[in-house]
Amino acid sequence: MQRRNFIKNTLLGLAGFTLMPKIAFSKTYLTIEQAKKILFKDKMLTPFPVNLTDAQAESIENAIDIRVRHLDVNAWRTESGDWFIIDQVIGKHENIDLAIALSKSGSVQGIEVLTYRESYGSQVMHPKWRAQFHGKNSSEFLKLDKQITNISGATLSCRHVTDGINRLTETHKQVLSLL
Amino acid sequence: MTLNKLARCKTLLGTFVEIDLKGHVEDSVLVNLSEEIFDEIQRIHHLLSFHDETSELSQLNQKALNLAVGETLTIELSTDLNQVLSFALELHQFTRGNYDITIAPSLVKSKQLPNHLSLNIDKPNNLLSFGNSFNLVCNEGVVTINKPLCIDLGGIAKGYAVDCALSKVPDYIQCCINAGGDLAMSHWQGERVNLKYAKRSSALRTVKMQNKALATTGNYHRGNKSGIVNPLTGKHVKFKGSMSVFSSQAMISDALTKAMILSSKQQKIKIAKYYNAQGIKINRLGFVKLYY
Repeated sequence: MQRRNFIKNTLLGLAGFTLMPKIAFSKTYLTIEQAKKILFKDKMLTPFPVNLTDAQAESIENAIDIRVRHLDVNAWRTESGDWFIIDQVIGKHENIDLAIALSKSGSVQGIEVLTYRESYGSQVMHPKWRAQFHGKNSSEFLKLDKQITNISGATLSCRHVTDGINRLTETHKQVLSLL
Repeated sequence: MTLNKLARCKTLLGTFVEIDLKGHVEDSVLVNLSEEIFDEIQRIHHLLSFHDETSELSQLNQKALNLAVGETLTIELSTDLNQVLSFALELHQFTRGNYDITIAPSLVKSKQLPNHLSLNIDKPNNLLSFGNSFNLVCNEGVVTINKPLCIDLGGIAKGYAVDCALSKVPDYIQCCINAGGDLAMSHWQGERVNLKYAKRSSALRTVKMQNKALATTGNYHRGNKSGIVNPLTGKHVKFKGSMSVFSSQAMISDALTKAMILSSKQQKIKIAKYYNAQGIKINRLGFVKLYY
């Protein structure tokens, strides 16, 4: 009887631990429309989605040694050939939506962080959590989001955002500039 | 006019810089003001960054490292570098060496800073050949150095950048600037803030703002590498949890967090009283100790 109770309690404890919802903090700064207005003022932007081939992604990865996670490039273009790209950067414990403005020649004109989501643990590797993106919401995981306004903590490095920007400038050099 | 809000975030100073603006003004006014704030932070970054090889600080380091034995170097400083160096040297004196901006060689050795100045740090004894803040004198905008040394303002420049940026904000606009944990608010009375003391998301303590500025230091994002160096021993200090400091300026808060971590309990209280600051130490389990 004692053994049965022990097994029952252990299983309940383990189940409770594994099913316990993990909190993910998030902060939204700008919408895509606001970012467009800040980076391009009143210039007309036309949607110009691009799908990278596996060979192109591999070539970009080889050139800069940074992983290309998504083959689709969420891009807009101006009449003069400048680019506006929405991208997602995944750090060790965070998921960041970025807006980047590139000139026709590929130089970075501006960068805006649109959304910052922080998480801890295996959640980062969960496809649904990673799918949280502008226009691609996963309601199951967004329920766990908690809007936190002011946090003062240890300084967080933004190196992975720099990697994301390098990946996009290389994508422009190898693919977008030829379109 | 209704209350308009704007929240923006950019990657500057090697971290995420957030700006929250509120005011009974047009959206375009808030956007222009946010641009002005980011430009000011960028300006300070170009002056005081260790990583930027063309910054005023890098040029000063280059000259200070090439100093021959027995030679003295005298350089005129910009108003910004003079202000930061003067305060750093004052704090060095007050803490009897527990706060020192010349720990760059130790940080380069542990690969937390790049070695673009080609510092000779291959052997542990080489670290002893560098000078410290006792070899620096800052007086009326002129710095005098009498031994080769290397300065890193990583533990103070972010706070100074936040102060400079906040000074651009007019009284009728509410502003909060947060540069990687170094935070300052224009209308801070009654505001609440979350202090993060460990890596897990739930490790937050909500407190009332005690003053205009707040800074927090911790090692929890660095894995096993500690970013805090004891200037008196040259060794990296193991520190779990966080140290937060409220004061009237983000530069003071930023520098005091490091000084307080390395000080004894009595010294912490002495520092807090002298600078009219409040220190909050939270260990990794969430237990709080106050120093004021």
